[in-house]
Amino acid sequence: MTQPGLAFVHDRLRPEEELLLAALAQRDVSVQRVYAPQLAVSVDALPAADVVINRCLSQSRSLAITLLYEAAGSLVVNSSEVLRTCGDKLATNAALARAGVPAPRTGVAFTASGALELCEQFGWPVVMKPITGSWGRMVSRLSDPDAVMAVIEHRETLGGPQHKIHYIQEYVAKPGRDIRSFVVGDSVICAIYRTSEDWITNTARGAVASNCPVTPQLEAISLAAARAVGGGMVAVDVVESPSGLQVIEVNHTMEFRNSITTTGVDIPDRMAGYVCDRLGIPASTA
Amino acid sequence: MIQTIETPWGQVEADPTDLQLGELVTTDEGSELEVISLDPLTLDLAPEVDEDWGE
Repeated sequence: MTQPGLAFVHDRLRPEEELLLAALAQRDVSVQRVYAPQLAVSVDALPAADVVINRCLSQSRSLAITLLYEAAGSLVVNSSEVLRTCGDKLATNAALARAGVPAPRTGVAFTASGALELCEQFGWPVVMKPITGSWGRMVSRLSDPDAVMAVIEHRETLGGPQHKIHYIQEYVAKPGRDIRSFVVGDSVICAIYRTSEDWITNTARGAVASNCPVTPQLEAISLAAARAVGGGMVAVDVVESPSGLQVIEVNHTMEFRNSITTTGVDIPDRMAGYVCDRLGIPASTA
Repeated sequence: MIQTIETPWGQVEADPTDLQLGELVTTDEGSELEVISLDPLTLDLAPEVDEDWGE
């Protein structure tokens, strides 16, 4: 039987990409690898692929390539809808709000005075983040108006239209940890706690991962968040707030190297299985 | 076969036929390089992070 075509688009090969490629090889799935930085094709001349796994680190390149493959009729995991929504924190919050998924109070302002007004509404401290970005970069917890003004001044000096959108979120007093759940299709396959003495509990910033049981509440909020952004394979960051679980963000090119041993779940194999389903390869061939 | 590959940032010991696009290699001087082309083999300094990188 001829297998449908699977393209694997990447730039830098992280451990995640290596693990995913190994999991696909384990299932005897032939993969056409595409090194994104070398791509130079016209819209109507992309290599054909039924399904595309997009694992680009560069989010702008990732979206561009996804749009091209989708225009050519390929099914891309994750879709441009997911990339657009997850790649923009405000779009994520809007999607979560539309779907009724609990999240910390969040708003945007376009002037310094508007930003201060929002901060007063939310109560101190507040969290300011760039609308795009990852791994906790340029995320600030601010305790008073002077600090907010200083950050706004820095952002406006940096230039660029995105730095003139001030994204402000209420600060959630979490118990020294947050939760990352891994959603593959319609399943929450596992979750980890990310524990840190720092208020930013990101493993890229040194937080320690440990297994987190997938409770019915965690499963429900994770699936709701994943569906709200368009589904696919995503990692949902959740905080345990005094009023219950809340979603902080949803990641569309999830990193999982620290979570396989921790959870005992073969995450890349589950991802490969999901892709095989999309390709129409029966599970029995895995 | 393992070969010594000369780069402006030091030497890399690797089998060129085993290298993959996007792979990271480390020179004897500790620089991290990314394989950006296989034919001809080209290695370039690998930034730790770029502005729009993320998950």
